[in-house]
Order: sequence, then C-alpha cells, then structure tokens
Amino acid sequence: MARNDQSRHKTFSPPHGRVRVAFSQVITHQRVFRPEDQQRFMVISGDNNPVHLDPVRARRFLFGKTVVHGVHLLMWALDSLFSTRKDNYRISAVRASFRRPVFPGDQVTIEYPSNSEESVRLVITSVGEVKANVQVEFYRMHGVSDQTYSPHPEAPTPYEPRALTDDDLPGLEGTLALHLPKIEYRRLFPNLARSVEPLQASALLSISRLVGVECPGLNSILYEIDLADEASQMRSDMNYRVAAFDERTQRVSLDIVSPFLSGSVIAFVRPEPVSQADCAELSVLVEDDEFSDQNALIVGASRGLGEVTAKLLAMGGAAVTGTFNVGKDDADQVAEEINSAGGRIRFVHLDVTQSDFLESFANEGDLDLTHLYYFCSPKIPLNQTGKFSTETLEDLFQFYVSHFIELTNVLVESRLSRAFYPSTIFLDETPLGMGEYSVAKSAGEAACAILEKIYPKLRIYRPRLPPTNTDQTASILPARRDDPSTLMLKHLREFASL
Amino acid sequence: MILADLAGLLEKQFPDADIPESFLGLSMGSFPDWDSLGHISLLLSIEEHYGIRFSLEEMESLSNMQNIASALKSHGVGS
Repeated sequence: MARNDQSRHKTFSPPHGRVRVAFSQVITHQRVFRPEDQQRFMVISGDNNPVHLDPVRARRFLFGKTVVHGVHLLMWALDSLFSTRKDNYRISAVRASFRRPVFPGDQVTIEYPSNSEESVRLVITSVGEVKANVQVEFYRMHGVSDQTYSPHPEAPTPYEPRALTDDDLPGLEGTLALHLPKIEYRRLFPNLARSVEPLQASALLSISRLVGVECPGLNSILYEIDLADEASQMRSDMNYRVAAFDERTQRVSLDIVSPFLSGSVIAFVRPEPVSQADCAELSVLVEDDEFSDQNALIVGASRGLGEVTAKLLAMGGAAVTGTFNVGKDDADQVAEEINSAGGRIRFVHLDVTQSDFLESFANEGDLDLTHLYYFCSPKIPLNQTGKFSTETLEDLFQFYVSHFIELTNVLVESRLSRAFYPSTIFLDETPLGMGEYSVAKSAGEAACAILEKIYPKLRIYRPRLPPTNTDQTASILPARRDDPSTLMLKHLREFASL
Repeated sequence: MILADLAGLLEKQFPDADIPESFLGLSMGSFPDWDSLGHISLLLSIEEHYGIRFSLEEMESLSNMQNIASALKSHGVGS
C-alpha cells in the first residue's frame, strides 16, 4: 500500500462529549486485492459467496469473473483513513454505494475529494472508473469502550449461500450473530482494529455475510449501505428485514438493526447463469443428416453460442470436437447430453492464451477437421469510462484476431476448408461502451478476408450477430434478445451452403 | 412542478452529481454514478414519489429524463 501525504484539519466538540474529526482531502492509498485477500476476508466475514472465491463458477455469473467483496473495499478504505489515528472512534454514519465491480488483480485507488468539516468523502477508483463512493463521519471517544456486549470472538461458521427466490424474499426477516475473530481482524484491518468500536466493525462484516450468504444470498449484488450510529439495541447480533422487494428489477431493500449501526442496505438479485435449449428441443429443428459431412471443431463449446452450435451440429449428424478452457464441468454436462441424445461429441482442453496451446492441442491426435467454429471469448467488457482503452483492445485482439489466425494457420494444413467467425452487429451500431470489442471484431473480419486470400480453398463465414440470450448478455433488467437456437440454426444452414 | 420534483429525485439518488438546470437531456450514463443499478433505483423512487407503477416494458424505454417526464404524463401525473 502506498500512501502519499496525509494531514488533519481542525477538530471541534459536538454534543455528548465526543470529538468530531474532519480529515483533509490529500490522502491517497493504493492497493491490489489478491485471491488470498479474498480468502482472508471470507474467514472473518463469513461471506463465502462463490462470486468472490470460485473463478470457475464466477465466470458464469453477471461479471464473468470473481469480484472483491464490497464491504472489503469499504473496510480497507476506512482502515486506510485511520492509518495514523491512535484514539478510539465511533462511526456516526457511513454511506457507501458500490457502482462497478473490482476484480482481483486490479490496482485500486482511494481518492479524497473535497470534504466538509463534518464528514469525509472517499472515492474508490480503478482503471479510470469510479468503483465506489463512501461518505463517513466519525466521533472521537474519550476513554475505552465500556460496552457490556461484544462480538463473538470466533470466526462465523461458513454455510452454503442461500438461493432465495421471488417468493422467499418479501417480508423475510432474521438474525445474524456478530463475530469478530480478533487475530484475523487485526491482520487484515490493523488500523480499524486499533481505533474503531468492535461492534461497529463486526456489523460491517456481518452485512457482507448477510447479503452474500443469507439474504439475498447466492445471487446477490451489494449496491448500497446507509447506516447510522443508533444505539437501538444492545446485543451481539444483527436483525434484518426485507423492507421492499421489487420483482421486476430484483431490487431488495433491507432494514438493518445492530448495536451502534442501523439503517438500510440495498442489494440486487442477479440473474442465474443462462441455460441453453436441450438436445430434445433442438433435435426436432434439424434434419438427422443435414450436417453429417462436417468434422467440426467448436472452440468454446461448453456454454453460450458454442454450446448451442455443438448441439445443433451434433443433432444434425456432424462429428463434433468441442473445446473448453476452465469450464470442465459444463463441458462434461454438454457432452453427456449430446452423446445420450445420439449425437457425437468429445471435448478437449484448449487455452488459446497459452503460447503452447497449439502444441497441446495437436497432442490430442489427428482431428482431421473440416469446419472450424470460433466462439472463443473472454467476458466482453462494457467500458463506461468514456475513454478508449488500448489495453482492453490488445487483450481482445489476442482472442478475436491473433489466436484465430494461429489456429486457422495450423488447421488448413490438414482438411479445414470452412470457418465460422462470429462478428458483431455492434460494427454497424458502434455503441460507445463497446468500442474496444467492436474494433477487435472489425480487425477479425479483416483477418478473415486476408486468410481467404492466403488460402484460396478456405471460405470464412462471418455474420454480424446481434446480442443473444447468453451469459455474456445477462443483465439485471430483462432485455429482449434473440433466441440463440433460432439465430444459430439460420446461420449454420447458410454456412453449410457455402 | 413535475420538473422540479424530478430534479429533486435526481439529486437525491445521485447526491455527488452536478445536475444542470436543464436536465431533460440527461440519460443513464450522463455521469458515472448513473449506472444501470442506479437507474433502477431512480425509477423506483419516482414510482414511489408519484404512487405509480411502470410496466417492465416501460422501464426498458425510460433511459432518459425526457422519456421519464413523458411517461409520467401518460400516467396522469401533473394533469
């Protein structure tokens, strides 16, 4: 963590004998959250939601990869704020809104814009984006806290996050015990541990567990925390109640009551991973042998458009080799379904980002492939910074251009004569937030044209596809999107007729 | 009156943003805080304030303040 300069402005005495402290704006902290940090925060908070810890499961959730706990960000910001404080403090109010996900490995910065005498505003940013806004007020306490109640000193016992439904949420209420395992807490947040009322710290930790594990649980997104020091109950637990649930937008408003911090928490229920049509549904759409002349390689066949393509081709009589990168379980399920339905598919592992991927791929044997379908893609980023990111473009260029060319170069040495390159309708619409994606796909189209000239027997079909209903396009507000099965069958038939 | 109310609701939902006097041209994404989840919260606060309920189809089209103001009129607000 790097800290540049720090200073404090004047203090004054508010009622009740507490000293309100104002901090100036010239403090900046930076850090990177690592997966091991996620694990440590999980231990003290009890928030073991896989969106924070399990890269394989998280890749199918809304953000496409693991994200840092929102409360972890908040408590790191508060810990940084107290890094030079030696007195005891009480948080009188804290409001945090979590705007965009922070990913492990991202460099995160706390900035301190203008502050009034009475409160501190922190802005947490990363890669040019505002990730969270925090407004916090403190009182300096005279003497040592003399609370009768204190958090449970052991770590909370982890349990499987609940997957609550629309029927479960309205009016739901419950109680969470407040925990604060001191050794682990001090290790993670030494300045908070030294300075801030333990019941307040344990309440913040419990909010992470509440949202991520208890309510809404598994499919949650923490959006906003708005709490104030209201000594409404002197116990070692937190009561919660769903004050409002909007089934259209999946927005959950929770009322929270705990010692010294009560108020509201806003969360959203994120959509479930998208399930594609099964082989029974798709087999009635295709003729038994309409794709039987194809020995097809589908890169990225374990989910999404690749999964749909694999099922349609296999039900149409093609011999299919599918690839997966990290989603082996998903690939196994797709293979089981297709083979049980009478189709032919086998899966091989392929990570196109590894320099030796072609060598490992070749070791799988002579695939004698005739058709290539290239659905390989990272989570497509939506850029809301208002600036074009050349770094993002370079990452996408590798996926959509370089690795496609490398793979094609190898496969044309055997029998490959047809390739399916999914381009995007965004090249026609050029939406602002999809600039890097659009440019990379545009380069991919150009690469297709060049490859056809280099290899005269090769034909590359490159339709500009609209967004369809897959994990890539999942959103909180339902949006009308094309059905992947109908769309892909149309294009597979056009491709087959080349 | 509707415009004054809407300006207040915008400011309440996005307290860190500078809301211009002529705000009907604003839309989701006009400033960093106005993301999709913030937008949903804004729409729900407007519903609560006026005691109305947008359909899901309406919500999809209400991505800017001009459309929101028009939708309020179609719900009888201000008439």
